[in-house]
Amino acid sequence: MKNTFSTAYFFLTPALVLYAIFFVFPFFFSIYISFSDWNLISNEKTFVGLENYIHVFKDVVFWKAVKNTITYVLVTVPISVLLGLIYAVLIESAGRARNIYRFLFFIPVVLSVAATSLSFSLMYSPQSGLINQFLHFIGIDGPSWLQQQNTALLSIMIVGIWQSFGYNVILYIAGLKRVDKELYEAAEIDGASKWNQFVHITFPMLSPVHLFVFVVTMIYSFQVFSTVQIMTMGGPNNSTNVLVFYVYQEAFQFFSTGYASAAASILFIIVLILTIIQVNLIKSKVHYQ
Amino acid sequence: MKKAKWVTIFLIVSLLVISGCSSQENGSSTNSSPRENKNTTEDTLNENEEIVEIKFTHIFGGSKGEAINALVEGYNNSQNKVVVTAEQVPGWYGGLLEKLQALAVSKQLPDVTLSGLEFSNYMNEVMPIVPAQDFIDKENMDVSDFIPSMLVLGQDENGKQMALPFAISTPLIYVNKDHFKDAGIDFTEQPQSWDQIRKWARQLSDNDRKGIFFQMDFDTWMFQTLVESHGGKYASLDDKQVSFNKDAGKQVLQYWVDMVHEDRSYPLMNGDQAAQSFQNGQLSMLVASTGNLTQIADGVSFDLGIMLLPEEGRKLPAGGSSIYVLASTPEREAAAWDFVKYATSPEGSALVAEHMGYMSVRESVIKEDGILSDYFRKNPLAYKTYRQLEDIVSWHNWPGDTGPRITKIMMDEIQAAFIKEKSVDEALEDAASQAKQILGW
Amino acid sequence: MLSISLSSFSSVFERIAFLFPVQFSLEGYVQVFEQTPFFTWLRNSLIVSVLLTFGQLILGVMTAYAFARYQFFGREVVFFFVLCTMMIPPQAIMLPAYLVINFFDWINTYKGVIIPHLANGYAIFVLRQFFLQIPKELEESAQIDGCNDFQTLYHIYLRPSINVLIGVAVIQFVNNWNDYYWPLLVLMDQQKMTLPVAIVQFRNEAFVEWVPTMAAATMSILPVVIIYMFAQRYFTEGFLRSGIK
Repeated sequence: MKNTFSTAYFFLTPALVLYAIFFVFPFFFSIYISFSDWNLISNEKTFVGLENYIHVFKDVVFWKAVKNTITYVLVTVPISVLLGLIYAVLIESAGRARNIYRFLFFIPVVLSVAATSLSFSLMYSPQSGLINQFLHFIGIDGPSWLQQQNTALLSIMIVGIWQSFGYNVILYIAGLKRVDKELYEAAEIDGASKWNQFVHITFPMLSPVHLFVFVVTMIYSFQVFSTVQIMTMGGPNNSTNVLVFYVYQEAFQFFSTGYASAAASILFIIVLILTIIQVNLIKSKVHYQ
Repeated sequence: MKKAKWVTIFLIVSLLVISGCSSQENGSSTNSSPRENKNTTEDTLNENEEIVEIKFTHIFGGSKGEAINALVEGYNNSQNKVVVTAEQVPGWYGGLLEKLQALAVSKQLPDVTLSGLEFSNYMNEVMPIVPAQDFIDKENMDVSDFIPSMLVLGQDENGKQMALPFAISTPLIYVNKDHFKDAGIDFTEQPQSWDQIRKWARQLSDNDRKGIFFQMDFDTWMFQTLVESHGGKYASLDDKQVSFNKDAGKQVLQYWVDMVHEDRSYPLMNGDQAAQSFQNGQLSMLVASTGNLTQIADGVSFDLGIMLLPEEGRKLPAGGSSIYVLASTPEREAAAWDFVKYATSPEGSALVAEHMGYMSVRESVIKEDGILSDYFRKNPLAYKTYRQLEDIVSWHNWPGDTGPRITKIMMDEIQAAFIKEKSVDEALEDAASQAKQILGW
Repeated sequence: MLSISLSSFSSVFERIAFLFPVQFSLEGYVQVFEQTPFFTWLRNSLIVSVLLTFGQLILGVMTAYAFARYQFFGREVVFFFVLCTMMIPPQAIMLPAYLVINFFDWINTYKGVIIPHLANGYAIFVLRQFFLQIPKELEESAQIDGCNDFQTLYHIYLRPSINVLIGVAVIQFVNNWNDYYWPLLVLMDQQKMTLPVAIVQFRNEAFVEWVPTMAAATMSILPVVIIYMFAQRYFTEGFLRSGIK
């Protein structure tokens, strides 16, 4: 009764049909276009073989985008996860004010990226921005956050962390509630310090949460786009250009459908690899439990 | 098990119903806005002619958008055969071109559209447009009232009128006169040289204030202005020559880089932030488009002055937009042309000048007893911009669809020089060689 | 950080003071109402987000149930595929997706905005994780009692997961509400646009009219903040119970 193929697929069909039309087809179509030279408007598509891929691989900007994306993910994911954990633990021990904190920390997550990015670019303004005004007030000459090579990507990363860690806080709080209280009581009796309790009980007990938070944050970070598009347009000199923005720019600003699709296909392959890694991580954890 | 199938089918059907509802919903909302307009024209409708509804895409929101709506309303009320609906596309001229591109794919292009002057070649060569010349010839239309240097902006390289100029702007220097007074500099409307401006910028800068900023977030307009004003050439499509990397180009980029790093009078920021700083009184000079005049004048509490660019060798590439008729049916094209004529008529052009801050394209609007004489008397700043009129040149257009990419490369390289990632020479050489590669020159 | 996030909205009412407006004024709001069809956009946003969220939930429940409870050929592969859809940045597939919409003649319609996003990887994933936790014995006993598959789904799976459902609904609603690029690409008529467009409405070339921009931004996030405020309890509980694995 249970293991029937047909019932299962009845539940699956609507979603799968939609996926097939709006995901699988565009996916393969994109790969198809990546081998041709086409400007969208004309009816002619010339087959150009690997030329688009060669162009992409030779493009300095593409490699900058790859480097920036990797940097972005490597920096934002651990910090965002760690901040999520720290604040979750702090908030849970905050007593009555807990609910207010939970609410406040989640606000960045609900804000639209457009509103957030515009607000931040106002705050990052070298002269009239809040950040530099404050620095000026305490006697520091603040940088041109978004216009200098050494701070531009950093500024974008700060916004990314700010946007995402609230979500992690909530996930960790949910995880913390599941930890058996008796464990702490026992530890208390043994005279373990708060820090030891955290290291030996809280942290290991949260291991399934760590994984989930890590995966979700990674997905989110990898897709960074809007902040870049609104705040820096990838500048200065592509020091904040990231992969998704690169694809977008080729497709919608330069109208090079072929290059854009080639870049998108490369992106798909990276996504595939990342997903395989993540699925294996999740699986190994499940077995472990 | 059977039940299971039915419920699944039910769920799918209900989803389809949901989407069905939504499509009806939007069906009704499309009609709502033209219909409102129609009511106003229907009162005057005497003949039994079919009303032609056409779409007009533009880029202006906020107060400028209101001016566009007033223009469209004025047109709809002025006659009873055509109803124009204005649609704003966010993202400035680049965003508009993106949208037009997407709509061309779906064969849903509007009937009339604005287009940034930097995209003229792209429009002329890639988009399905109807050249204005066709209509002008057919109607034997008199175009002598158009300011000659502006009319040229709508022509292709053979002098064929592809579009009509709509809202034109030139670069201008906005000045905080209070700062000039503080620094003991005599304010003048006509500076002598770019070196003088640099000297002032240095004098005006201190810990809290910066001297100058050139607005160039989206394009290389300012770069072309300065290169050509320094006697240089930008590029020549006929000879297949890229020349912005020659002496004048290097001189200009060096001028900027020195102001940023040596004089520390030019802050690194983006255009939005600079406009903000200028209004806050933290920036003394802002080199920007005349098109910002109304908004800047509205938002400042200090004594605002306007300085023209140094006169010697001055060349001002025209910014702003022209207005195009796009191919459809003969009736719609005729209706579209009728609207274009209205929008560029002395009345239409006066409205654009007065409420949007752009320059009028008509002689009769700007002459002494013209339509706007009262406005100019009250706003002498606005009139000053016309003193630069004879120096207007065309904004350089790269051929076909190469424009956006080359422009982006040049901006990247200019930024690289600004942040000292590359030397001025390196940056310009790299930009030129990449441009040549794209152009196949 | 937080105080800045909140103050940045209010401080722009009247140019920058350290945290608070120098002069309080509602000009910006008035300008938004005068110069944009704000309520039309608000209505459009509501229609699109509600329908989309609702659809995503229904499909999410169905699909998640299939993944969690049936053994079928290709389950692993299909689930892997769903995870992939979650990973792929929407902007990377926007162009071909637009061409598909165009093929169906859905440009400038809400169908074009909604239908492509009905199947949502996140909703499927979270619900599957939750369903996996429900003991199989419960289900078996339900079936012994004579429940068919749908009754089982309802009684055993949906009723206990109401908090998770609300949690997922809020997350999805927020995302749908804030989605900017896709509606902007698909829709053309101003009368059909959704709310995020209002935020960029007052941005000209290099000149942002900050006051109305921030007024529009504040008003456009208000609905989600209110929803979150009310749903918050369910929300944390939802995650708590979902036992994220």
